[in-house]
Amino acid sequence: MPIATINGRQVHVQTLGTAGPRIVLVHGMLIGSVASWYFTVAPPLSSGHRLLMYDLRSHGRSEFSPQGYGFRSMARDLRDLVLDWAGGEPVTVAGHSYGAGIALRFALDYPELTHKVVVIEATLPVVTDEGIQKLTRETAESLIEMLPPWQRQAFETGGRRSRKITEQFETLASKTSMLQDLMAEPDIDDAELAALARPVLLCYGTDTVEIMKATCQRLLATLPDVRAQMLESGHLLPLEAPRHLAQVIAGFVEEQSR
Amino acid sequence: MATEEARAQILREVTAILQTVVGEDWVAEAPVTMATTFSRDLEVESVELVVLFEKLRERYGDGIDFPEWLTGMDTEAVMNLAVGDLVDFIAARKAP
Repeated sequence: MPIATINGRQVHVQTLGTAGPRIVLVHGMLIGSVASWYFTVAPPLSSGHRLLMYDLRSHGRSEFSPQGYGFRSMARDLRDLVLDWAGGEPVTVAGHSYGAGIALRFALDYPELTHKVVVIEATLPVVTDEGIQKLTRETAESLIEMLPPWQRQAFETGGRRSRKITEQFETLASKTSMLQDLMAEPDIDDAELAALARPVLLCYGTDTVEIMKATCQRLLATLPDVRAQMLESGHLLPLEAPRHLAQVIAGFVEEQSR
Repeated sequence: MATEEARAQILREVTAILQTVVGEDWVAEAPVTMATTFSRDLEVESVELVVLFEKLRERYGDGIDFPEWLTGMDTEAVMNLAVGDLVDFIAARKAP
């Protein structure tokens, strides 16, 4: 299993594709891992692109970390991985949900390492009061309810897989500062967004929740070089519309800069 | 065309590698057959399947083009994969 050591912690990474522009894929929180991309968007996208996927702190097969879940800290992890992988060459960063927040923060903090940005179903502000109440009440079961039926079944057996996902959720919620870090996460200023001189593609699901739709509108109005693509899906775009998403990302990466 | 014996050999190797990936948490009581499914029968997590694929590519070489294989499959089919599907794919692609 390929392991990168980032800030003294072990990070599980996977690469696919042998030639073409470099794209890093950043998964979402709690139930996400490299597998969120590896079996969905990555196979079609790896033809003609070099992909890097990694498990975020305490997710999948990466090492447990009690803290450091704010976007600046997560973006620093990503910077170190990108430097390791691409040696300072700018890359496209694409993230889903929490991962989209990390990708956006990465582009704002490290524009010299950023070629383009793909924001898939991000929310701004990152956590609303309503959102955090929902999250702290949230159980692994209600997260699982968001999954497509064919995936949900796998977690409803009460067997090893449902036990593992519950354990991951409980570990993150009770043994790390993730929820506190998210609650402390400041919103991004419109002025900071307006100064992002990198092309951004927004991908949102047609059936997503209101806060996502509002974020899409806000980013469209504030970012200087931005386009949006709505895909027929709910919040879990990589799972629900993998091929369409891969196609849209490929088109954006290959598009000549304006 | 791979012989039955070659397939049986690959099945043994895939099973052994999967056991090292899953570790002490291995749930299967019955022997793994071509019909055993990764998620329903073996309760393998999707991230473990990623690690398995990567180890199989190390073992059998770059001719085992998983991305190309997965591109032809929808995500639901991936979640319902049987060990035999993987064995057949490796048998068809691996260098003689």
